[in-house]
Amino acid sequence: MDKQALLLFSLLANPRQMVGLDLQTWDVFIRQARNADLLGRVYELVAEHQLFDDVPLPVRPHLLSARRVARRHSAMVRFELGNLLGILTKLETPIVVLKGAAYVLAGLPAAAGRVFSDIDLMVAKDRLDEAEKLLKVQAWIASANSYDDKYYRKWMHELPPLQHLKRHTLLDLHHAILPQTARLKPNSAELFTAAVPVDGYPNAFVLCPEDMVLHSATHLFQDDEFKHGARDLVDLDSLLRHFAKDEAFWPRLVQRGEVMGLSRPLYYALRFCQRLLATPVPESAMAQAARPARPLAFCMDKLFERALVADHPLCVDRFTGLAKWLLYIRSHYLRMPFHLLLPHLFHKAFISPINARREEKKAENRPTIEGLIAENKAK
Amino acid sequence: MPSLTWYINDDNPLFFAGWPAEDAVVVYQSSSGDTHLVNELGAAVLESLQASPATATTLFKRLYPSESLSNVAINKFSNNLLVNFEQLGLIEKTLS
Amino acid sequence: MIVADYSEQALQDLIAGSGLRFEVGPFTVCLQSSLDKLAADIRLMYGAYSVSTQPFADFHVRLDQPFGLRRWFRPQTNFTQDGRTPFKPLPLDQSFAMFEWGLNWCVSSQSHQYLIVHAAVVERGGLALIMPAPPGSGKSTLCAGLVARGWRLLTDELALISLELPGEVIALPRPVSLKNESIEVIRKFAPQQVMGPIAHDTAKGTVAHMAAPRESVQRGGETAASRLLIFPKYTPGSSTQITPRQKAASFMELADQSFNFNILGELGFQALRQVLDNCDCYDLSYSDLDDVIPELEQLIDKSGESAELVGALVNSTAAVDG
Repeated sequence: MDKQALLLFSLLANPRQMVGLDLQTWDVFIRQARNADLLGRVYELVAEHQLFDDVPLPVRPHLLSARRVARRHSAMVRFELGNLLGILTKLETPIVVLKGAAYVLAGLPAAAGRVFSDIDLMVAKDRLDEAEKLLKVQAWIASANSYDDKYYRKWMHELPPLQHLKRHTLLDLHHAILPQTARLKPNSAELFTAAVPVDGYPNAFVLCPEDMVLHSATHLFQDDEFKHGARDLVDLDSLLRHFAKDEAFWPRLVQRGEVMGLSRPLYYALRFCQRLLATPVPESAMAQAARPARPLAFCMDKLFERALVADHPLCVDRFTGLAKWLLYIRSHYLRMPFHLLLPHLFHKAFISPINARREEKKAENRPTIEGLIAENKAK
Repeated sequence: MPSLTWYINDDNPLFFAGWPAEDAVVVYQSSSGDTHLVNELGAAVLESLQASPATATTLFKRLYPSESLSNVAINKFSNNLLVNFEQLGLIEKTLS
Repeated sequence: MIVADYSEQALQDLIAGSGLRFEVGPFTVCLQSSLDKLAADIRLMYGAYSVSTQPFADFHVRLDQPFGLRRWFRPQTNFTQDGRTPFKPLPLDQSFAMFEWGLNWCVSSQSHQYLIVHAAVVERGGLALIMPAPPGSGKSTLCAGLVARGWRLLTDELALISLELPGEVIALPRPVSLKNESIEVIRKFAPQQVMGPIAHDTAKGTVAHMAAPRESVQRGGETAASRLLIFPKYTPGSSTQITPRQKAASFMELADQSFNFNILGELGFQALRQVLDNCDCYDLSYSDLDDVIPELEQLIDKSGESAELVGALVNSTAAVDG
C-alpha cells in the first residue's frame, strides 16, 4: 500500500503524529486534506490535541482559513435550519433532520470543522407535497431542469433538490432514506418512531444514534461500493466514538442493523473505520455484524484505492462541494463576485461545468429505466 | 393589555459603521451575512433595541423624548420602520 | 535566485518535472505543466520573482492538455489544483491567461487569512490607493498607467486586506490584465513595459498582461497603508473629474466587491471599517491617462500632507500636555 497515499488517514487516526512532521510531508498532508474537504477537521484535531505550536508557520494560514470556512458553514446551517423549520411548523408533523445538519443541530463532535453542501430533511411521505408548497411560497424552488424534475418525481418518487431563490442554499427533502428491499418493513416509519427530539425546535428530530450510524454507513457502502470518500468515513468514525461512550450502544447498533436489514453496510463501515481511522470497535460487535454479511464481496485493494485522496484521478464531483458552498454564501447586498463580475472569464467557465457535472453524477447514480421496469415486473 | 415588544435576537447581533457628517449608516448582521445601509433614524432605532427591547411607544419616547405621542404617529412609526426591519430579519417581536 | 536565472531550457525541464516553486506576494506557488510554450511565458512575466527553497507550497497547480481526442484539433489547456478542475478547458493559446485566472481562483477561494476584495491597489509615498472594480470601470488600464508612471503595484485584481494590521494592504504583485483596446492604449502609453502573450477570442475579447515592474516585485513584502478609495469610470471624451463620496455607501460597494466578506463575518466587517476610517472616498471620471495621473498624484500627496499635519498636531499637543 502506498504510504503517502494513506498519510491523510494515518494522521487523522493519530493526530499526535503531526508533531515533528517535516514540511514536505505537511505539504502532501494539507493537499490531501483540502481535497477531501477535511482541512477544517484537521484544524479541529490540532486544536483538540493542542498541537498548534507544532504546526509550521507556512502551514498555519491554511488551517486558519479552513476553520473560518467551517465556522461560516456551521452558522449558515443553523440559520437555514431555523428558517426551514419555521416554515414547516404549519405542517404540524415531525421533521427529521439528517446528516451534517443533524450533527450541527444535535451538537455532535462530528459537526466540528465540517463543511456542508446541502441540507437534508425527512418528512412523512403523505406530507411531502404540502411541504413543497409551503417551501415554494418562501422561495424554495425545484432546481432541477424539467427532465430531471419529472424523473425525480415519477421514477424515484422523490422531490428534486430545492434551492432558495436568493440565497442559493440547497435542500433535499426526503420521505425515505434507506434502500427499499423486499424484506424490509416500511422502514421510514421505524426511523420516525425511534427519532430523538431536538431542544429548542418543537418540530425537529434527529435519528437515534444507531439509525444515524446505519444511515451514514448505508450512504457510504451502498451496493458494496465505497462511494463518498474520506470525509464520510471521518463522520462515521466521529459518530461511533461519540456514541460508544454508552456501553450499551454497540449491541443496540448491531441489533438495529439486523432488524433494518443493513448488516452488510454496517459491517463494512465498522471494518474500514477500524482499519483506516483506528476506531475502537469491540471484537464482539465486529463478529456479530459479520455474521449476516456476505463474505469477500469486495476487493480490499479497490476500496483502499478509492479511499486514497491525493493520487486518485479526481473527478469534478469532489469540487462540487466547494462549488455549492460558494453558491451557498449570500447576503442581501453581497453576492458572490463570481456571479456579478461578468467580464471575468474564470467565473463564467466556473459555474456551468459544475452544474453539468452535478447532473452527470446524478445520472450515474440513477437506476436505469429498464432496471426499474424489470423490478416492477418481478413484483 | 398586551403589546408588541421589539427586540434584537442575541443570536443575530448587529454591527454598525458610521462616520461624522454622513447621514447613512452601515448595519451588518453576521448570522445572515446581510449588510444594509440605513439612515440615522434607522440606526438609532436598531442601536436602541440592541441595547434593550422596547415597544414601539417606548422606542418612540427614547428617540423623541420631547415629542408628543399620538397613536397615529406611533402606528406610522411602527409600520413603516419596525415592520420593515422585521421583514429584513433584523429585529423580532414578541407579545407581552 | 529569481525565475529568470534559469535558462529557458532548464525552466522548461523543471516545470515539466518536479515543478517550479516561486514566491508571489505572500504565497509560494508550485507550477507544473507539460505544455511547451508556458515556460517561456512564465520566464517573461515572472522572471523577477524569487525562486522558493522551501518544500511547502501554498498552491500546487498544473496546466496540461486534457485527455482525449482534442489533442490535435483545436487543442486545449486544463487548469487543475491538486487534481481539482474548477474550469472548463480553454484553447491552448490562452494558457498563460488560464494560469493567471487559475491562480486568482486559488487565492480568492482559499486565503481567508485576509479579507480579499476585487480591486486594484497601487502605492505612492507609502500610501495606498484602492480602486474597486465593478465591470466596465477601466480600473486595470488606469492601474497599468499609474504603475508605468512609477506607482508601486500591490495588485490589479485581488486586494488582500490585513485582518491584523488595521487598514493595511498586503502586496500581491502580479501581471496586470488588459483587454481589447486597453492593450494598445498601454502599449502606446508605456512602450517600455513588458507585455505578455496575447490571447484572442477569449470570452472577454482579446486579453494580454503587463508584467509587474521589477521594483514592485522586489518590494512585494511591504504592506501599504490605505488612504484613498476611488471608484474609477472610464468615460470617453470626459475631462478628469474627482468627486468626493460618502464612506457609508462606499463601504457597501467595497463589501459588494469582496470575495470572502461573508466568510469572515465580524472580522471582515471590522477590517473594512478600518479601511473606510483611513480613506477619503471619491468617484473618478476620466478619459486621458496623461490628464488623470497627475491629478491622482496631487490628491494622494495632499492627503499624505494632511495626515502628517494631523499627526504633528497630535504630537505637539501631547508634548505640551505630557
